[in-house]
Amino acid sequence: MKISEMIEKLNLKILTGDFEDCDVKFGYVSDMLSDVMGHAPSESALITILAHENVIAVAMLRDISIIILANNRMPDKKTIEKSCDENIIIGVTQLSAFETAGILYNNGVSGKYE
Amino acid sequence: MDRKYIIEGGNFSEAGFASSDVKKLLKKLGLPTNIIKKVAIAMYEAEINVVAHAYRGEMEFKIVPGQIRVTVQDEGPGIPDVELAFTEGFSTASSKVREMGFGAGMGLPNIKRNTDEISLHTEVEKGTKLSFIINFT
Repeated sequence: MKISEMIEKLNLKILTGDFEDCDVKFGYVSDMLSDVMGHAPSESALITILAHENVIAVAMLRDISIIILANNRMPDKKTIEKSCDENIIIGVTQLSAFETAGILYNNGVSGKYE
Repeated sequence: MDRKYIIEGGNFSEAGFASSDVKKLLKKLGLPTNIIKKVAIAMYEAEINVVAHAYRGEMEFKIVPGQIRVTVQDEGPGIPDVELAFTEGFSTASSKVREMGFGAGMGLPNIKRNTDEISLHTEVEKGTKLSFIINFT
């Protein structure tokens, strides 16, 4: 699923400026960073409600392509800056993590447990 | 090649600096992706352990032919029951730390799973020394 399709289907607001419209094949949902660290697939979409800067460190270490913040969670300025520095896209949606994951799954994004 | 990092207990905004720095270095050196991933996971968890539990710590990173060696020495409360600390799901993290998404009880198990050799020496009320090795060809 392309990032542009996510923007359309999740009504996603991208906070990190310009982005490469890459194809995201895998997804992961978690609010525990050690769980993300241990199991999230690389080049995936991470759906979470954690909006602080440690999420960016974990996403960078796991080569996550996009962080989707559910329930309209807004990160602070420092977190957005860090995300831009590391080339990780942050998008915010009003939908819950459950609804977000469902939409991604129905559009070909799959789980891949690592 | 050696690198040394100081880790400050309680400073979550700097947590991940050492592992990110090493990840970039290993990428530049052209190490296989699966090895970089293992090193990044193990180092990040070790950093978080110091930030979440100890007062301060030092992390030493070394590459020798075929091996990556990391040692983390901290001044902190130590680990009263090492076996329990290696049990997935067990955590003594504070509620503040848990709210940030840590404290799942997966730190040491994640480190163990991603390393080839691991050793832990701890003294209650003094600190903990964790060493691990990741082999590569």
